[in-house]
Amino acid sequence: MRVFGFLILTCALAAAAFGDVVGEYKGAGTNPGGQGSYACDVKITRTGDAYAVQWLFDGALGYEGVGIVKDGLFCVGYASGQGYGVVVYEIKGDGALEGIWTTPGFDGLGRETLTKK
Amino acid sequence: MEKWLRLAAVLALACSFCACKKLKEMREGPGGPLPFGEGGKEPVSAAGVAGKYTGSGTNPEGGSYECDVTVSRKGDAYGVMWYFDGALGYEGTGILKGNTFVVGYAGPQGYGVVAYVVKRDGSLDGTWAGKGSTKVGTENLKKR
Repeated sequence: MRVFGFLILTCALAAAAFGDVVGEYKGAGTNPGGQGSYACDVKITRTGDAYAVQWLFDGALGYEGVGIVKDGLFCVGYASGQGYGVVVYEIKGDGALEGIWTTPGFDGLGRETLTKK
Repeated sequence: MEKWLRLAAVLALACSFCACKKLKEMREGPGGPLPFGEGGKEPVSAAGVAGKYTGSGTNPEGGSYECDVTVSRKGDAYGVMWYFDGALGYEGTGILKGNTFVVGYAGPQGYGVVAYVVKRDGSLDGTWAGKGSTKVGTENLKKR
């Protein structure tokens, strides 16, 4: 019976580790320089060693990105018709992602927090 | 019954091995331990990562490349330019967070992300992925 307990525990741990950042999130952010705030929906899927990220605004795709996990950080480069940028999320214990981001021309940092749906 | 117990034990071992490997990778990145002291959380000096570098890298699908890279400070962020044989190939925007320098880039062949670990000697050890890639490349920058 102890073996089964161990099995369940380790598999749960493995699932938690493999699940890492994949999922659907609610996002809330602020633009660099305090220039307004926004809300979005974010989808993260695994693509081999990397991740694909989609930001939806009112249900419409706004930005697409590619991400990698490094040192407990989820690092994403994104682009759209309006340019490109970078987001660095800290992976929190509860699965939330706490990000800072920037895009050329702003020089400041915006914030974005993603919480799992 | 004994057969099932043995199978369960083997599965449990495999699961814990995978979980530990994954957790280690998430904490340290695929490149191994962090460069600075305990936990690698000492901040990079005020000069940050600005400077001129010579770079060498490997592509996710194989093959290698050489480049020159310029990193300049822009407020709280950084501007990054990659030159190949003297011609500008990609431009990026970066954020320094702890010892990790993260850059989003764009160019004629699409966009992507690079995460560099800042080493004690000022070199940058990077891992990168382009849009749609299922594997990662590496890029090492040394100060000129």
